[in-house]
Amino acid sequence: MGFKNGHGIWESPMTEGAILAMKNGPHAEYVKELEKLRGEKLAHQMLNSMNLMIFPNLAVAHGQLRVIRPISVDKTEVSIHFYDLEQVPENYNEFRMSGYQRFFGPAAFGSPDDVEIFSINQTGLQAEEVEWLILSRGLQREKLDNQGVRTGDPTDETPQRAFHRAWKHFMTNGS
Amino acid sequence: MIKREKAEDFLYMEARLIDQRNFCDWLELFTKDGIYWLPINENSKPNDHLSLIYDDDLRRRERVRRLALSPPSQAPFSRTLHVVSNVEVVAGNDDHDVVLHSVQMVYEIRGGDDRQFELGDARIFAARAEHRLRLHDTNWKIVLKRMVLLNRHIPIPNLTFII
Repeated sequence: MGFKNGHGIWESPMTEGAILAMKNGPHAEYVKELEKLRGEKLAHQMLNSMNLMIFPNLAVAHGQLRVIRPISVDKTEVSIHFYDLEQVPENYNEFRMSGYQRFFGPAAFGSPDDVEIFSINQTGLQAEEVEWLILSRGLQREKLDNQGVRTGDPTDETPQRAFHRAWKHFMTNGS
Repeated sequence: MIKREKAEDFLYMEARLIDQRNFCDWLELFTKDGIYWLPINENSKPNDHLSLIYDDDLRRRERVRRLALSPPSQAPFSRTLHVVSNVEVVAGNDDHDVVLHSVQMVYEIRGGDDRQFELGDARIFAARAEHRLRLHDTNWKIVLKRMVLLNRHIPIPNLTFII
């Protein structure tokens, strides 16, 4: 989802099968506690994979807070802050931290590949022939409601478009 | 105990296996419960503070397997050269027989297309290494390999090779 003020939400719902697997896995107790505390419907929504982008420089994603600080035209600092959850079984925070260490950080299995691609993108962006950054994925199926909220599918670039739309607004006639 | 000369032989052999990219044999140097650890805060327990690497047997094998798949961060792959120095031998305890302290300088370079950012630049990683070893039959095995990097508190670009 993308909002008028530049905020964005990316959400990928858990399938019933995935919830069932979690209920029968090593973190069954966590799911049970969450259902008891928040009700089944909200609890399952809370288990979804969700990224929240708060315009212009804060993100809540993958159990982390990310603060984005532009330094110069070709340098941006992204600081990642991992946190524990309170009042959850101890093995659940250990599981989160272990998964986090597996994917994020300079020696992990996920983000170094992203960083590599970002750096290749930076090289590519120095090309002068292409003036446009293409962010049109899913544009044809984006829905706009009367509150100005746009909704797309999980693979669409709806949140990215919201960001750039707001940026353009504030950089031209916005106040 | 182990004589310092033998301890040095062991560390040189481990360094050579890594530098020759013989990661399958490197994996076999560890015990089944062995840990490969690059802490950020070396005074914290691994459960209390995030680490750059905290690999048990399964994750260590996954790391080696991923290197063979040439992910973007390792295409082209890193060539490394370990210089091992300042070796000391300390008595162990019930869990491990000896502890080896050493200082390691690791030179890393990714060759390839120099139009790509940072490719072809040589990087030096300085680390204080701790190896806890256990004797299995006649072979020394690694119970813990802990590398405390000198630059662990500042941003480190990709560290996707075996150090």
